[in-house]
This record gives sequence, structure tokens and C-alpha cells, in this order.
Amino acid sequence: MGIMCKLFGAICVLGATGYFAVNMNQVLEQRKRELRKLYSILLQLKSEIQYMCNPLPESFLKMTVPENGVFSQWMTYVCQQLEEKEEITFSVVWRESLSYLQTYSALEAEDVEPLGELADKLGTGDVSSQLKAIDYALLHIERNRKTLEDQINQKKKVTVTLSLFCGVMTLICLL
Amino acid sequence: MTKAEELKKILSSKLRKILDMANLNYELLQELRLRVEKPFVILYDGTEFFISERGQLEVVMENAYIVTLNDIKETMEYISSFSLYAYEDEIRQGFITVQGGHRVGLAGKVILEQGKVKSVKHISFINIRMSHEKKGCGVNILPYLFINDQICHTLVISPPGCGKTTLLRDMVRLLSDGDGVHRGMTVGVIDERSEIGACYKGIPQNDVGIRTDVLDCCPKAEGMLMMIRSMSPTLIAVDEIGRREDVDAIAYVMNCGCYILATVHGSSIDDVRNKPGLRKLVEEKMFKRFVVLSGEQKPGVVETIFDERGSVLYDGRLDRVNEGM
Repeated sequence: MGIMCKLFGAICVLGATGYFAVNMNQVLEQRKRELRKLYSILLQLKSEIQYMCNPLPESFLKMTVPENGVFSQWMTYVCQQLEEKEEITFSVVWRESLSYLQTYSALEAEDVEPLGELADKLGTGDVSSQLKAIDYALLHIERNRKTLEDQINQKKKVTVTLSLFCGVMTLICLL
Repeated sequence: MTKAEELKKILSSKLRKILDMANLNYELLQELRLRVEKPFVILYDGTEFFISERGQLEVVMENAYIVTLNDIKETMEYISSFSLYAYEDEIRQGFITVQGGHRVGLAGKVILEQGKVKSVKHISFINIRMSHEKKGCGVNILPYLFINDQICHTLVISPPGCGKTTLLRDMVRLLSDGDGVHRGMTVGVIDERSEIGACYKGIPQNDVGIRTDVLDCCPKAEGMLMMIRSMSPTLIAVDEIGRREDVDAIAYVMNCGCYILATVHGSSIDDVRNKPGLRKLVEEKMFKRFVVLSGEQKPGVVETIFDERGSVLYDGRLDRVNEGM
């Protein structure tokens, strides 16, 4: 009976440390997923400008539909603010929306930074200058995503190893 | 949406406040002119006024509100829905049509590409022309345009700014809806400069009738052929013809059994005869009616209506003399 209890306790400890490792990795994965999402949203915005020539509020409204969660809320916010046309400029609305995005998503400051540079460029120039500005932001996001992927591969292994090591150490101490 | 709301929606917050305080009758407001670091000017009931920061209309510019670069920038953001790129074609032509059919003329630094206008940047001058429909201004002319209940090919001749587009719009509406005497007909409008229908997002902001199809922002010559192929109209209406390709397209339309209602710049039939392309159409008596608008009186006043042989069907000058007696 005593051995069974010890075995059960050992499984619980290892399970807990394993869960912790998985959870940590999920947070990293979440950021990667959101970066990918951000990349696809910018691609969509680019095609809205390039092929549809739709104004920004209309483009954001269209892009809101297939999205959900924080990105949907972000674009809805931008769209609503622009539609109101009350003592606002696009750059102000855009910067405010980015701070919202950073707060409520897993994205970090370095991920949102390239979008910040669009504040003074989106909506003010001709189509080709819009596309160039978006391409520049896409380049940054892609680079961040690749860097993050490398980090994730390393961190994943370290987290799992460390968690299991902690679990084993705890077991040794308890025994 | 009222005219006031339509206008305020596109103006910067500062200018909105000034207009709010001015308490204007928007039916009498004709134009607003914004120039960077220059007084805020409006054309109101035919008279030019400066507006002070408190919204008072002044004849002298001493207390006038000076329009800032920020006012222009903010106004441009609202006019273009924060997306100047979406209005590239319109900006290239020098104007944007906004909700309500009001026309916003723009000027600034022109960007050229291979000798052609590519865009306008650093926009510093804005002219907002309020759209005013004058329904019914074509009612008296309409009976002269029919022979045996059949509409005639008609050319409206008018000097610039004398109401030919306003008259054309109303004639299109009347012909499309029909009146008590004549049945309505399918009308195709080729609206190259968005002046007739004043389409905003494809929807005509002006009443152009229930049987009217509008090809918006389409070159006239190409549009006339497209309209015939796609919408089989009974009558095609075009504004400000003059180029050789327009004339060729009109001849094609006439030979297709379609009727033409067109306008042209000029002050008499002789002016039209002097235009190389149009001369042929006049001499071959393709147009059956010529409506000449007066440049001396208020806009939209008909001076004379001729038939293809030059016989006067209506003489507005004689009418006005008789009215005066």
C-alpha cells in the first residue's frame, strides 16, 4: 500500500512538472500563432489596398468577419473610431489600437513595433507607397517570427528538460 | 442625411464648429474654399463672404478665420475616409465626389509620370461645391424635344457655368420617369466626371429617374459603346462632348437606333459648327434639336431652341421681353 502511495505521489509530481513545461511552451506557441495571424492580416490588408482599392475603414470591417478574439476586437475598434470622424487622425487611432493589441494579445513590444511605423504612412500616400510600407512591416514580422521559432525550439527543450529534472529532484528529496 | 450633416462630416472639427456658429441656410450655400494660411471663404447666395472664428459672415477679411494646414489635413482625411490611395483616379482628375453628390476640388503639388499627371500631393487648396438639384428646370423644354411622341437627338449648347449639367440632369430625370404626356424611357447616363448622377459608392446621389442606368467615371466614347452593348438604352445622355472620339461614338450611337442627349460648351450653333468634330454632325443634320442657354441671365435660362434646319422653335429673349411688358 505504502509503495502504491509513493508511486502515485511520484506520478503526481512528474505530472505537475510536465504540465508546467507544456504550459510554458503553449505561451511561446501562442505568440508564434499570433505573429502568423498578424502576418496574414497584413497580407489581407495589402490585397485590399492593391486589388480592391477599398478605404481603410471598409477594409478593416471586411477583415473583422473571419477573425475572432483579440484581432477581431482590434480591427473593430479601428473601424469604429475611423467611422466616427470626430476630431481624430488615422495615426492617433492606429497607435491607440496597437497599445490595445499589445495589452490583450501574447504579442510583445518588438512584434507590434513594425505596425507602429504604419501610423504615419497608411492612408496618406498612393497605392505603391502603401504597399511598400506594408511590405516593410511584413518583413519585420517575418523576421521576428523566424527568430521566435529558433528561440522556441531551444526554449522548448530547455523547459521540458528543466521541468522533468525539477520533478526528479523533488522525488529524490521526498524519498 | 441633411446637407449640413453631409458637409460637416467631411470638415475638420474646427471648421465644423465655425459653421455651427454661423447658422447658415445650406440651401443657399454654394461653395466653401479652404486655402492654407488664407481666410476661410464661402460663396453664399451668390455673394462671397469671409467667416470669422465666431462664425460671423464678413465682407472684409480682417476678422476672417485663417485656415491652417491641420484643418486641410484633417479635412482631407475625412473626405478620403483616411485612405487617399483609394481615390487616386479621382485625385488625378482633380476632384472627389462625396456623399450627397458634393464635389471637392483639390489642388497641390502635381506628381508627373512620363509627362502625365500621376497624383497630387501636399494638397493645400480645397474647394467644396455644394450639390443643388433644380428639379423641374427642364419641364418647359421637354415638349420641344419630341416629334410625334418620339424623342429627338438633342444638343444643349451653353457657356461654362450656365447650368447645362443641371438642365441635363433634370431632363434625364423627366425622360426617365416620364410625364403625363410621354412615357418614361430607359436612359443610359455616361457620367465621366460624376456630375450628373454624382455617384457615391456607385449610388447616384442625385435623382436621375427610375429608368436610368449610370456608368460612373467612365470615358464618354467608351462608355457610350459599353452602355449600348450592356443596357440597351433608348436614350444616352452625355455631358460636355467635344473630342473626336466622342463625336465618333455619338455617330455610332445614332446609327444604332439610340437617341442622344448631349451638352457642349459654346454660346451659339456657330460655335458648335466651328468645332472640327461636331461640325459634321450639325451639317449632316444628325441633331434634330439645339437648346442654347443664355450666358447673360441667371444659370439655366434657355435662350433659344432650334431645329436641325435652324428654324427657331422657342425664343426665350422674346418671352422675357413680353414678360417685361
